[in-house]
Amino acid sequence: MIHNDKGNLSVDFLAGFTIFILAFIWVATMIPSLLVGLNAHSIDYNAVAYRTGVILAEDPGAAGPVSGAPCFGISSASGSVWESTVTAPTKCDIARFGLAVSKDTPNVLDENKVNRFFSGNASADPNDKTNLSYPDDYRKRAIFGDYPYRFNISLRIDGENKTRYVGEEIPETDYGYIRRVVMVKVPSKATIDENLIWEKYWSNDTVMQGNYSEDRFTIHFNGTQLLKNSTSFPHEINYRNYQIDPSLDTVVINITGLDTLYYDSPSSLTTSNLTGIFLATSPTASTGRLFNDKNTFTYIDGNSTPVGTLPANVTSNISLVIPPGAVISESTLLANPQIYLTLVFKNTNTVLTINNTYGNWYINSSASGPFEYDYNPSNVTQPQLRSGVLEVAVW
Amino acid sequence: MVDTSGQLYTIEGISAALIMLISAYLVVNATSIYTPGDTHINDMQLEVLGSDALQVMNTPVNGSSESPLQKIVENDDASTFNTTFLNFVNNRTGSGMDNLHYTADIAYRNISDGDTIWSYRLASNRNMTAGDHPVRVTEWIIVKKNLPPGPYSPTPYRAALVEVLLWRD
Repeated sequence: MIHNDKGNLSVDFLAGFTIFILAFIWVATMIPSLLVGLNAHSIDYNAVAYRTGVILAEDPGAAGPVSGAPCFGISSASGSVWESTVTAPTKCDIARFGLAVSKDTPNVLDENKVNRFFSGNASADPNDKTNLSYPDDYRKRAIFGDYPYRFNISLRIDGENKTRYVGEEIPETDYGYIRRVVMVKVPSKATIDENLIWEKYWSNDTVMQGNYSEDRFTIHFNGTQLLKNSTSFPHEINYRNYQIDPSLDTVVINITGLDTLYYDSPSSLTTSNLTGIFLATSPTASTGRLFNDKNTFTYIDGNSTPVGTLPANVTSNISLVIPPGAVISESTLLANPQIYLTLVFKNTNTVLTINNTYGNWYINSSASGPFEYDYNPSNVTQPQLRSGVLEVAVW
Repeated sequence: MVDTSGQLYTIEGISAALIMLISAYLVVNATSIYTPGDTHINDMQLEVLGSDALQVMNTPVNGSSESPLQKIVENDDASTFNTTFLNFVNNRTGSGMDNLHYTADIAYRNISDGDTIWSYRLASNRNMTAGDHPVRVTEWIIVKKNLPPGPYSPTPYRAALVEVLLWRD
């Protein structure tokens, strides 16, 4: 019998092959974990944070249609004034966030843009067309990208004791981060108090105007002077930082101390009647754009809600907080550089009586000429820049 | 004629496994090295912060004043620069401060010395050591000042370059 061991598998070979296969499988299963160290997340997060930081700090943003629910591209707004609730009433009119005053003024933020941007939160309904909600509305307009990033954007302005933020709590590790040093443009505002009124605008319209049925107080915006070009400023390059532009900035006019103005009148007479606010091209015009039913910007006697319709009774003060582009749009200002905002106070027997021979003394600019809203610091508190820190964290 | 007589399969299997394991170990170690390519993120963050701080310092707070940086350079006010600059780069929106260090120099053209570039130290809060890894940020400014520094005489505005080296511990 011939001995033939062909086809036999030796125990030696079996052991060797098993050891090889086991080691091979172990190494093969290690390969995916090798690539963990090479994942691009941390680099990507930092890049997205950087991009978002640039968009927010250096870009003025854009108004216009945005895709996605609940908007689906419906908007007729355009330009970079996305923060105005007048020109961009719903969030569907905001195409891109951006907080800079203009594209020529990087790192200088607009206060209105800041306020509207940080008005959103996680509890707002994403399908609501007005209020911004975290995260959907922000992803589409500031973060971008297909990956559903989570983020926290915060801003602290020097002199404020709160930090504004939108987003979630930042995780301990593994997030992208950028910090920008910024300034915030605080818009101009004018305060017309009783001292100024007594000095200049306290008139007897019986004598001055021959008309004691109403008192008119006019504020003059000289568009030619306000929109003077960059060469009129000492700092030519960044003139937008210091410009008063009623079409782009909030205009705040506080009239205070009206209760001290009643001359020799019975103590029961403590209110007057604001019947209308005219916007016209002349201080005496009785026609023009009348805001009887659109007084979303008129606050009376410290009330935190604006008066709905005029006429309304006034005791001591009036605040006009005119949002950008609301009353005076850019086209209005360019076509009619001289704009007069006139407040008309009606004197009725029931409210303010002409009760003596001196006639009716009240706030009235007929004799002195209108109050000038201009670059004179004694009239108007000029725009100022306040420094702050903006942080973006993305994960 | 080659045959398999005397071949030790087990020893071969063990050596093949060892080769694979050693190779895998080498590969794992190689990828965990902190490559210089990743440091650009930290450098970028520092650069953005430093140039932001200089730019903000070179922006006047209202339409009629000089910028803080311009005033500092004109008056050689090292302590104001130190306070303001460190405030800007170290401030955060939350609690706690960052811990950055810097040296700041002013570079300018010296017309009286054959049109060469001179520079002098404006301020610093620490001397740089060999282990520090700084980034360089600059800002051009216009100052009403004699350069090289000396008693003031009515001269036209001069351009100067504020050059800051910024690093984190």
